[in-house]
Amino acid sequence: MTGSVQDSDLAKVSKLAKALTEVEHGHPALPGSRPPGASVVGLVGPPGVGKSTVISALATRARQRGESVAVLAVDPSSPITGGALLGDRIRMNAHGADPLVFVRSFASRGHPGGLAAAIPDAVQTALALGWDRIFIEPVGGGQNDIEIASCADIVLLVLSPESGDDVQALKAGILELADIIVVNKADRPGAQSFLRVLQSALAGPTAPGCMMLSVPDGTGIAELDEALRTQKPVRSRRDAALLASVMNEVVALARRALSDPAVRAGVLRLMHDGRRAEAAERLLRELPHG
Amino acid sequence: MTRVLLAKPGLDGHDKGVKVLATMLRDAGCEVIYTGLHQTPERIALAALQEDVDVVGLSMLSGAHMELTADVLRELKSAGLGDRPVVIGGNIPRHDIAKLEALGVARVFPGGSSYDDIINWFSGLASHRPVS
Repeated sequence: MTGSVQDSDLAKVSKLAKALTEVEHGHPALPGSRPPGASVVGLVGPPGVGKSTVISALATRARQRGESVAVLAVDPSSPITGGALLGDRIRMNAHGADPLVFVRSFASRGHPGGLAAAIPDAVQTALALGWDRIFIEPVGGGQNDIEIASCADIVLLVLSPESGDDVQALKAGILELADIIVVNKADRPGAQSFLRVLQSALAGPTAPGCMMLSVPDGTGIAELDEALRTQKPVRSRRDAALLASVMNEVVALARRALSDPAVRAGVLRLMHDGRRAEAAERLLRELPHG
Repeated sequence: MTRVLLAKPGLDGHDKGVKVLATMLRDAGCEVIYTGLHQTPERIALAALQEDVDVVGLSMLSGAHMELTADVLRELKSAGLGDRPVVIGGNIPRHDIAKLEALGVARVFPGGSSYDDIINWFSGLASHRPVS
């Protein structure tokens, strides 16, 4: 480019951009090992708690160390039209002129559970091309899907003091999913009492650690950054996460089978008759092969 | 699946129109990436590169469309994206349309363009990625 961007950086960005397009079209991930000290962090949490803002703050620290950052953000596709509005870049605007904060928006394209089918291979591809810090931001809401743990080393649950009433509902998902819980917007009223509610809901030997964070005044960013760099990847739930990943793939295949009008009509006929189990078996027989 | 980048270069702060367009294109089955207000030509090219989009749409209501368009086209070219069509919408006087096309703009939709014309144009775009 004509401005401050170096050709070598531009080449690195271009290479990843093209490789991710191939992965999205079903090509396998690029082989290769990850850079020394690399990390893959998944951020889950209800919409509006500030996941993109937290990523942006962590990206700033990574860039100060000279590390490259890749953000893979997923937004939902319409199940009716297949279209999608992908808006996660807007909140990463602080890095808009820095080529080495790479932001790629993925549409979920019918993949259930908050990721896109291409995300696991996209992560591997970014690591193989030498990107140091990978952040995955799934679709907001429906936060108890463990598939994210199949491709992230560390899962961060981001909440805000306004998430109060959700804590009990989230409890089972939190315990299985999060390695670290962050209470963002800690400058807001009620943050301390929310943290206490959270900690009492999470009591137990396997409970994840909780941290307070406020991006505008910088509270907790350095501590979170350090925690993410020293946290050991949790492997005990990896098999559960891999199984969740393959189940999501089966659902995506079933959705593709339903795009055949004959299959759709056959399944709907059984459903109208109240024969749900038979409808499911019919759909399973029609899963696309190859 | 057509991937579209929509951007507002320069200083104009009105994004109602581009948001309506983003929703229209989503409902027509496109994957639409909106970058927000006040983007520099260099940032727009970087976003188009990272997102590897098939087409770049610029919305301009400020009157600075001649200068900004030339800058965006130059930045896209130097990012290696000279092959991606650029489409312009907004307050564009009729006498500037031919000038923008002469710069290399693929299509201009001035105020008053019809929904069908816009959607048909986007639907007719081919993916930049060759079928393998």
